[in-house]
Amino acid sequence: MADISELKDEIAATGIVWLKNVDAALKEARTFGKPVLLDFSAAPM
Amino acid sequence: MIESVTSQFIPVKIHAKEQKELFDKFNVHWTPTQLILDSDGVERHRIEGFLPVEDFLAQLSLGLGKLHFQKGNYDQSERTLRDVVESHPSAACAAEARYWAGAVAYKKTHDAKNLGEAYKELQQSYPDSEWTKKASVWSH
Repeated sequence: MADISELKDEIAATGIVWLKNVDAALKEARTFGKPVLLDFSAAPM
Repeated sequence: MIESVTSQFIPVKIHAKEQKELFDKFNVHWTPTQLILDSDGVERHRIEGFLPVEDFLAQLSLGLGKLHFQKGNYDQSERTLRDVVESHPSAACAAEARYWAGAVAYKKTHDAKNLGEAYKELQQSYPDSEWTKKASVWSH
């Protein structure tokens, strides 16, 4: 789980709150009936 | 773009330095790569390499349309794929979306007229696309 400062950086950079845990995302996907978008990146953090 | 991503997907960022094992698990060898998974974790669409925003948004919708097609949700699939063509006509994947919209319409109705119409439109709008070549067998 990302800490608050990491989340703030992420939101500032893209405006999107990205999860980091695929299993948690799949669980949310089943709950909300949405697919999962995995974004594989090597960009500097 | 934010709205398109967050309203339609559960977004997950995977960084090469933090989660290398997931690159191996999902057979990802280049960045950026985006995968669309259904809620069972099955890969339904793959986008490799950088794309300008409009092309990226069109690819996301194409992926959704293909996901619905593969799941047998033909009405939703056709709407989504046709929207790619209408909303992003100059996107590189628009021809592919029109191809699959024709395929979905055929699967839904078993009327070959849908395939012929798709080919005709592809010929008119995207004469040099590989998807027009793929649809050429639908001309009869």
